[in-house]
Amino acid sequence: MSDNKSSVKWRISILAIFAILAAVGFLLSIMLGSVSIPAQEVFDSLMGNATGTHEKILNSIRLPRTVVGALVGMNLALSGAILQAVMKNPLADPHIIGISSGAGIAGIMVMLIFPGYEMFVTPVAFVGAMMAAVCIYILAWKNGIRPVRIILAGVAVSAFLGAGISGMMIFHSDKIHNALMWMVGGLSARSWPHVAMIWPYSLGGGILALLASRHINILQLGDEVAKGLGVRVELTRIVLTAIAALLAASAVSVVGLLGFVGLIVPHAARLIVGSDYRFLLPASALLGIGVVTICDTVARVAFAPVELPVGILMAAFGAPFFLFLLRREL
Amino acid sequence: MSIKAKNLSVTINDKVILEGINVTIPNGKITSVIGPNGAGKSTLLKAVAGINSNYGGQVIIDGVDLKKIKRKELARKLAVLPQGMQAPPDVTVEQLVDYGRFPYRSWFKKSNRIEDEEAVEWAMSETNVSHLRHRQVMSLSGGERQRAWIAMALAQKPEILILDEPTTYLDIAHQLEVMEIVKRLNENWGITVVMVLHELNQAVKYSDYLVVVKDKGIYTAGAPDKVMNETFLKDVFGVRAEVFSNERGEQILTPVEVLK
Repeated sequence: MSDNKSSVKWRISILAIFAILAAVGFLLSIMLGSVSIPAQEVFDSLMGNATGTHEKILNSIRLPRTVVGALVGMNLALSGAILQAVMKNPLADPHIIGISSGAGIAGIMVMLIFPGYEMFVTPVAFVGAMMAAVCIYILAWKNGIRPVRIILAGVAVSAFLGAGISGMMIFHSDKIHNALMWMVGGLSARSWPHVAMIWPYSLGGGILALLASRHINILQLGDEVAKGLGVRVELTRIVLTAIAALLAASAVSVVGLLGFVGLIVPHAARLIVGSDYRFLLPASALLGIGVVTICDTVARVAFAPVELPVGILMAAFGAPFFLFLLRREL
Repeated sequence: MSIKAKNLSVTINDKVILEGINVTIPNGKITSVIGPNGAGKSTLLKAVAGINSNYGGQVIIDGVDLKKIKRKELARKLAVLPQGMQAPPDVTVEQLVDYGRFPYRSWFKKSNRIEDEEAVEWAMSETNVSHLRHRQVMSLSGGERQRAWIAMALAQKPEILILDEPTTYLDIAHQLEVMEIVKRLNENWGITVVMVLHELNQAVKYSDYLVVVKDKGIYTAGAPDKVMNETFLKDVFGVRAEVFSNERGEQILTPVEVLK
């Protein structure tokens, strides 16, 4: 098993399987919903030669929602994978560098205190997320950065902002529903403007992350070894943390505080393809796309006409599946 | 490749660890840094290896100030192994050794595949880990693991190899194995070796030059037979010991008691 796992052939086949999973998830998410659309029509519509109601549903509802879901899954998974290496901690995820709590408090403030301005939730949450991340980085700085200090500063800042979130929710408990939906994360009513908001980060962050994969591999050997091999450790860590923060902030500000993808998907990918980031990063991205699109489809279809936020479903199915992987590997 | 420290001092968290160090490491020789626990041996090593650049004074490598050498360029000349290395659990020996080629790769220039492969093979055969290439590093015994890490450092094709306590935690057979590898690398390939050792008999046997660190400074430096004697052991380690020569002419020391 172990020898298998490190062979290039095995890892490339896994990547291919993940790619198929992502494609299947993407297609299912477009086809299924309150109105089912056959695959043939989906293809026609994607090629631009279809008309009628189905075409409308596809282009203005299903497709943008699916694209947002895919990009969110990719961004969060990449962000988590990067942070786990940079912080040398298996529990590191976008949450730990303040992205969730920063986006949370900013987004919820808009929803609860300035309810007339809900269209600003996304940009304000993005700014909040980045501010929290920068804040944690500065607070953790002392003659350079040590991952443990970031994690502890992150926990403290998140707890502080969490108090603010809870406080606001208690004072405004009458209009809490939207805020709650946003706290668990969901894709309902996400459309082209959200796609426009997120794709530049997916593209830029994705490319930069892949370019940095060899550096990330070396960072995993520890700071001193990495320095000895010629890596500028402090600089690399700041740049990678910034990439991870941007990836996660763009995702979280659009769909709310999806917790699960950034932590579990990279781990699941790591258990299957190993820790070589040249393979782990694309594997995480593809698995993230697959998991979010498939879960969102189920969340829409399984309990119709009620629609569950995808965050609930992902945690409910994903966590046991992850535990299964973990038990089998150890 | 010569290494020289000029008026080197290191302060960590407001505590002075090393002060006013002046030392020249002889070119093409094996040098051991010895001294009591906490004297600053590892700190000295990290400063001259460029791992900790937070120091006062100067480190000069081949006539050039260390701080003026680019990290990757330095990594092609000088390889360093700190203590207590960790690798992700699924990294194999071959992958690890291949990481030693990192300083030769860049985004803009494709590295020379054949050169990389040759360096990796050479490094694995010099350290006798070729047969372990598909094993996971963390699943190896202590001695095998240490050899795999040395192979990674060798894949950098360094002119200087710096090792921090390469034999600590190894049994006597594996200690000897590591020391023999170091000796071969020095004799066959002319690699300058600098290492911290605790085992004084080994330091004497394998080194051409000893640097003794005590109380934030250099107590003395020189050839083992000049340095090693009863007074030295009393002054530096506070130990009464007997030093004598065996029939092969090697100096052997036997500790007798701790002097209060």
